[in-house]
Amino acid sequence: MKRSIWNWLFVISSFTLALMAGTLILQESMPEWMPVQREYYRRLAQVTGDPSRARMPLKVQQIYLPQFHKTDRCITCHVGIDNPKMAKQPQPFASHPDLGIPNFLSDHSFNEIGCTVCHGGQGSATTKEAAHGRVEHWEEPMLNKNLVVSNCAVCHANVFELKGAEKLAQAKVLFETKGCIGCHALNGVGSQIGPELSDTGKKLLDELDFRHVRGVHTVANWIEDHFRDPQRVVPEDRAQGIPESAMPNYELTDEQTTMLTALVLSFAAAKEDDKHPIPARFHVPAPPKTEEKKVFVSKVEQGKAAFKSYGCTACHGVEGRGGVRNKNMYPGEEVPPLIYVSAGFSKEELKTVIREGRYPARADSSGMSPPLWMPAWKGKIPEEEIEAIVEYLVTLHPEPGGKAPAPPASEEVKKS
Amino acid sequence: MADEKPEPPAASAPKESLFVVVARSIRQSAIWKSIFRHGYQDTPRNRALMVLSNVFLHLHPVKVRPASLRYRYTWGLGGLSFYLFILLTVTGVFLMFYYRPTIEYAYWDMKDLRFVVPFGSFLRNIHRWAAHVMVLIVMFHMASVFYRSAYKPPREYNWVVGVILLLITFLLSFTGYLLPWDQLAIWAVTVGTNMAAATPLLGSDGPFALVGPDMDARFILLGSKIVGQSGLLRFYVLHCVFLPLIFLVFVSIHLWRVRKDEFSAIPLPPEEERRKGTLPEAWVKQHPEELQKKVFTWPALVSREFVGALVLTAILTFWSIKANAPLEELANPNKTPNPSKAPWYFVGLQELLVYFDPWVAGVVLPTVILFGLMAIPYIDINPTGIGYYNAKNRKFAVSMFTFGLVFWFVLIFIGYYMRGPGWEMYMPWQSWDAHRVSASTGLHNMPNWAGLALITFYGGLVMLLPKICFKDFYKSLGPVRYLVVMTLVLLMFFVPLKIVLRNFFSIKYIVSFPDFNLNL
Repeated sequence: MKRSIWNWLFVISSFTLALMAGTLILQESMPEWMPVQREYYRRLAQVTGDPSRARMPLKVQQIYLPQFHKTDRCITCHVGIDNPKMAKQPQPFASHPDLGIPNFLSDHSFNEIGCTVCHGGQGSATTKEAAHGRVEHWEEPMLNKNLVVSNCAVCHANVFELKGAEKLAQAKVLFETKGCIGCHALNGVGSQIGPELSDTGKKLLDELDFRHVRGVHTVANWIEDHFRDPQRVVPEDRAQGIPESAMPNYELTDEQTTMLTALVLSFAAAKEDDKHPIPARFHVPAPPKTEEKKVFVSKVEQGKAAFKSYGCTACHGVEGRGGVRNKNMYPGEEVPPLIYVSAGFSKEELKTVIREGRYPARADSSGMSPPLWMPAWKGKIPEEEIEAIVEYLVTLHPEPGGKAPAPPASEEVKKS
Repeated sequence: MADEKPEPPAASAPKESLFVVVARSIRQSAIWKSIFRHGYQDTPRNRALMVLSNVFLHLHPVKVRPASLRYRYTWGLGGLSFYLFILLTVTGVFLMFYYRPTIEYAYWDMKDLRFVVPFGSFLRNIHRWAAHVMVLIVMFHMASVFYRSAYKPPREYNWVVGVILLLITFLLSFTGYLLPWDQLAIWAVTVGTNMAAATPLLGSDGPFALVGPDMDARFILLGSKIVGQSGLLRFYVLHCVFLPLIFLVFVSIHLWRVRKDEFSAIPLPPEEERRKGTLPEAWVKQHPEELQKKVFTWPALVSREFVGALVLTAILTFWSIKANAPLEELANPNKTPNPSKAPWYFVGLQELLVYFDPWVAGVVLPTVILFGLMAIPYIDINPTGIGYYNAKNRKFAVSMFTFGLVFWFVLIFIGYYMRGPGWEMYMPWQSWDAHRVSASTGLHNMPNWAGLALITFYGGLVMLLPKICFKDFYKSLGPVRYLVVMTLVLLMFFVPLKIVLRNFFSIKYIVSFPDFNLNL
């Protein structure tokens, strides 16, 4: 090899190395946050009329939260977060609003709670994308404005009575009227048809299938999109043995979708996190509950209430009127409405079905088994209430023009 | 840089190269002269003294044969490996200033390096990429030494030391893999250390286990049954103190031996001789004066080493500015990523877990590979080819080694690029699918009598056939060497045999003794 090639290599690589060293030093001396902070102090000088503020030294600023095992550097760009004079400034210079809740800012000292406990995101980062958590391998991206409320549950045990968390309370009502626990368990209460909900918000991204999700790949967006159209997000995949999502499409409004997503996320937030345990002193316990025993005027009324509270409506429809799709179920690909049961079943038979549960027959025997089935409620519903539910069920009668299948069909179901 | 030839090039070359002109004008400028009053006098004595009177350069001989300077001979791989070790030590020391080996802080210290430590990202990136490159270069160094027979007498033992250094390089990289304490780290190390639990006798999951999970080989490595705080601390100490120290000991022996035994390169005959088929060693015997032709190490070799290191540094710097070292989610012992892969250089062994039980894939095969490599200089008694690339006259050795080497990298490629969730096979362009149905169904075991018969037949065939067919081969090796060679060959080809049996005949185990946890 000619000597001159070594010379060339020497010159070229020395030159590139020097160039890259220069690049590196330049990069280090001009971090992304620096112009933002400079602009903040410029605006501060303008607002306060004190020009010396514009010459404040620029540096990484952080809130060290040893109790949460976090370091939040958000205030490197959001410097004015606790400066009321900056209230009218645009982001990232604005101060934190008080949300119209009395004492909100004084109760939630930034120096003690920081930013990411409520908002999510990657507090240790000093670049915008990484800090907002919209990067790979960061599982807690910043929550969108309407979902931040879910993190109130991190500390507040009585989150549904909390001022400012009204959306969660409304979502809870929706959660109960739709009968979610008919399929989903929450902290062990409910049935196992759908996944346990208190873990859903803490799922890792690769535990979820994002192939059919529209929008960003975050757990929150998966939940939200699944509320919008469960069967689109989880379609049947026969090759892999995945049944289509069993969850009925409740045709929720956008607002309901968002608040229910916040609710599901709040279940996860309320769970003790072994990565970032919440120190005891931040817990706001719920006031002791006075358990009032409900008195019902009749067995039927008690049954009606139990029918709702155990989530039967989720599958059997409001007042047992049916209308919930159950793919490949025989007959009719629909969860049986209960308005005919008095004609086809004796009370004892009904009790047995409730206690033991039942798997529906397949319409197409080569197809996948129907996603919904009747779980066994024995042990989950007290015997007394099962009896009440049956008393209630036999009072149900079809209304004229109901779109339920003809009674003989139910007869066949019973035989099979 | 000074020129290679002692006499000034201007005298011989009619046209001066640009470098000479520029270098001379710099040296003759008033500024240069004001600083370096008399300069370096380029005399043979000074060239020798540069090497002799410098403790570091003294690792070199004063003069070397021009053949060893050809970059196509060594590709500079040995020198670059050592340079990478130095680079890794320096960057590693800087990283130690910021890193705390506790499960509480380790991951967040990585984040701090990335976001707030000046040049922290760059330091971590270059440490990470240089480590990968070092593992690769050390493997290629071994291959190049093999192909030019540089392990043959008198350098047999230095090859053994080299294999030990290869092992230490793997271990250094593997222990460092855990330190960022992210998902990638703990699960890769979990895969690796679970293999230790499969050691025969000493591992709790291995055949003939003598000890329980709280005192077996994995427990000794991790100080626990799972990868946790004590494992992190042990790996940290091994990575930063123990392994670099023993690396230094062995690398000193290695370099000292190279110095004492001289570089292996021998002068190549001129083109027309080579076309006639004259082997370099035969030609050298006729022209012993060729062996005596030597040039001064300073500057001929030292400058080449310097430029090599410079080019590598430039590449690594560029790479470290462009790409960040991976850092996944914080380690979570309760969430196993699917698939969890070992570091890439061990993925080939992990790939073999499909075909073998862990005690074979994770313990027996690596041990056989290591001892097999160390045995090479003692079983290869063919004296041809020392000091130049020669495959023609050492067909058996080269084909066996090449098969093993290619197979190793093919397994790594399959394991790294073609395995998805559930360790299912995917083409590199296919997207992964966590719910895909497993392809390996309907496997069955051979009946033990048939399996034992097959193994006996295979062993007998490999052992006896060459002895009967190639009498000279057996005679030249002698019974002991023959036995070792054929055992290694037999074991090496047993691996593809098992792959064929499983993939084309749906056979899971050839023999199976579940009572002893012993399946093949």
